[in-house]
Amino acid sequence: MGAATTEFLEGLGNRGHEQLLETTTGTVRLDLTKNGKVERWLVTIDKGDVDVSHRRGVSDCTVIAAAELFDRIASGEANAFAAALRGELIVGGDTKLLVRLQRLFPSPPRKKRR
Amino acid sequence: MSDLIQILDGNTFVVSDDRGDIEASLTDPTGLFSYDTRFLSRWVLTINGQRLNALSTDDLQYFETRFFLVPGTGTVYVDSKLSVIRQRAVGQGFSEDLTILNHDEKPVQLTIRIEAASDFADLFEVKDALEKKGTYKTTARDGKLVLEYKRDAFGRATVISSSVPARVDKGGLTFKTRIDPHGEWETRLDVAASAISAIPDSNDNGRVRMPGRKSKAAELDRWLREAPRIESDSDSLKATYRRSLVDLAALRFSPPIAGNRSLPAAGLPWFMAMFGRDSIFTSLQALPFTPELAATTLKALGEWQGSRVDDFRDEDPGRILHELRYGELAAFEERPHTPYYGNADATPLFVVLLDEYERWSGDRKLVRDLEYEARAALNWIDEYADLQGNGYISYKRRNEKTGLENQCWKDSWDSISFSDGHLPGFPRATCELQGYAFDAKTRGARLARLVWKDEQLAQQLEKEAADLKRRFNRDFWIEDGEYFALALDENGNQVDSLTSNNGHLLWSGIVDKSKAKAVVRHLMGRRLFSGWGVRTLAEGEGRYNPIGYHVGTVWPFDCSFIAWGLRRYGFKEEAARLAAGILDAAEFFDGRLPEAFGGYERSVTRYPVQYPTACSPQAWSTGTPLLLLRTMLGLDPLGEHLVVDPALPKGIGMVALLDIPGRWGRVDAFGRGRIDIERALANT
Repeated sequence: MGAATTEFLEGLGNRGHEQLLETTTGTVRLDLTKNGKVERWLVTIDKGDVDVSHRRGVSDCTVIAAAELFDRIASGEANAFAAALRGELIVGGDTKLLVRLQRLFPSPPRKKRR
Repeated sequence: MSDLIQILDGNTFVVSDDRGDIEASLTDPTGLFSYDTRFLSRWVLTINGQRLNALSTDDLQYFETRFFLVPGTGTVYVDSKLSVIRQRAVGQGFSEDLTILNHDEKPVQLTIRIEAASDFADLFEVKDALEKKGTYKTTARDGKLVLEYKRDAFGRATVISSSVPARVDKGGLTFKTRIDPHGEWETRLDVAASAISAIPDSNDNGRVRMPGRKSKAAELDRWLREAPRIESDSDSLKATYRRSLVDLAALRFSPPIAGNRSLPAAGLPWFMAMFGRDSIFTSLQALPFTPELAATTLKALGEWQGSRVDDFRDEDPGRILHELRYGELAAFEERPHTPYYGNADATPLFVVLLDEYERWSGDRKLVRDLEYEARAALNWIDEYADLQGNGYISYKRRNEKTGLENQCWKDSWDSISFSDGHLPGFPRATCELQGYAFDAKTRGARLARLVWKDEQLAQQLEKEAADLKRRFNRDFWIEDGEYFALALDENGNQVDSLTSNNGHLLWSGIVDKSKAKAVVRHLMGRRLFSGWGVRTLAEGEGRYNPIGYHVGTVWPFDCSFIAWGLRRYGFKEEAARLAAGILDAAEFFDGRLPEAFGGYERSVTRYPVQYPTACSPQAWSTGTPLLLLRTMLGLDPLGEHLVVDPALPKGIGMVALLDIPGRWGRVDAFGRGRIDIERALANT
């Protein structure tokens, strides 16, 4: 699985708490596909406390995307909302959770500062 | 344009001619639109090969219209043995009940045909006439006509079906029928707009219906019932008030992320989208009437607050979005609206709305829930918006291809100019932005002390606000003209045009008391005040043009905030005069104020001249009569109470506003017109 995805999600889990998510509670399931296989991530948010695992479990929001695409999202190269509008990333359930989560994705790499 | 018929439901709307037909071209804004995409560009009814004639059109509700038609294109004499009724309601697409009545004593044999097609144009393509990049597919099967557009994984589809079985081909639906003497025939046509795997709640097969709204009539009833009631001697005021409430209901929409809650979209037809600035201003105007709009606007804008540094989207951490779009161009990042953050005012205004909302509603929970976002917004002012390091908000787009040059409400290319007409360089620090920053810091301090219990932040913000006010009154004040400069340019020089922006400064409270009288003299003086309202740019300035978008027209929304500013500094009579002018204009537009109208002198034209391509209805114009009512009645929360201090123009007679919602429950306000507005004008 992509390094950026792993780095982003494990970083989230290791920090364990995000101030940005303190008014958020819910579980997001990420199904990332590569060569016909699915890697599952479960991100559970409880008023800012974040737990990240590969467990199976009930989710409030499901995100389905190619692993390669999610890697670019997790590194800031691709924009999650635009990808969703293009139909490359599919969101089901409580879409607000993804809107919350995507604010944690990093900035795009900057070409050059004037 | 005036005989185009528009019905809408939030983000979905239909624009047709007065027969109910749609014959759109790439540059023509007719069709069925949903989520920034045109789902139907052709929809033409014929009977035995003949087009129909319109007898009348009834706008039943904002989401529903009825067309009465007869066959034949002759305009002189109509042989009406047949009548045709099309009743259309918008929802997730639209539905149309088609009824044909035979008035003859003989039976008739009819071929009824609906031609349908879609170009799936992005709203921006319609506006700017751009070419498509994807592929089309049309299928006729199972009695349904399916129109599809695909570009990579991006897909949009229109599915057309009927309750009476039709012969379907790729160009449309045909019915062959016989109607008995004095008999009738009817069918229901459904046009469903859908996204293939888009963001809203997807179902099992990945095909998604755009969100719509149920039982809209009941919902509109509730909306009207919960708003305060008005009683007045002025029938015009009552009609305008009702028109405003209904239009505001129509302009609400529920973005997929806001659940079933709704916030105001900016305006039909181009701006049925989430706009930071427009949503905030409209929510402020409507706070005493429909406070739920403010709560939803704050939540939705908070959800989408900027968190990254993204040059394409002009995004910074803490910045409040400018515009969010769902169409193809946004999806493929040919336009930056996913969302686009290029504005310099919505971020401080977000804090202003949060505080004003708390003052009215007492809803401290929302202030606590949005503490993170409000702090980030306050931080943005000093951390990201001070591009010149001089302690003022200024703007310069980082997306030079598709970003906005002017990131203030006057956002057209030539809106910011010197008195001699030349344009300043970038960054530009327009004056009203500094007013908003001052107000945001002042109000932020109140929230920090009251709700977040952070005395240190409160003191810091108060100190910054006082410092900003002191510097602003020194650096922006044009000594010999006795008004505030429109902006500081890239070198810190004053951009010296006289503009309506001075009124926003009064609203924000950044103006030194000693300077207020001179500012008011300008706002109500001959160069700015047209008799209807305050011109965006004063007569006599280099770029003044009475029908220039931001360089001479009168914007009702602008005037409503100026009136609020006049009240804030104690100029009650002038506020009443301005309110009377705008409300008089509203009467000419049947209670529906356009986005802007010409800056011509009232005594010359006698009626307000509508700006040629103005959006209507438009949210902040719709909110204008509401804010004017607030300012005329002098409504202002004080602790747990509502202060009422009326100052109404004589012509309006008695006004009673009943059941005003707020932290006090519901209270009534009464006023009687006592101000002689001609005298008020002569005094300034």
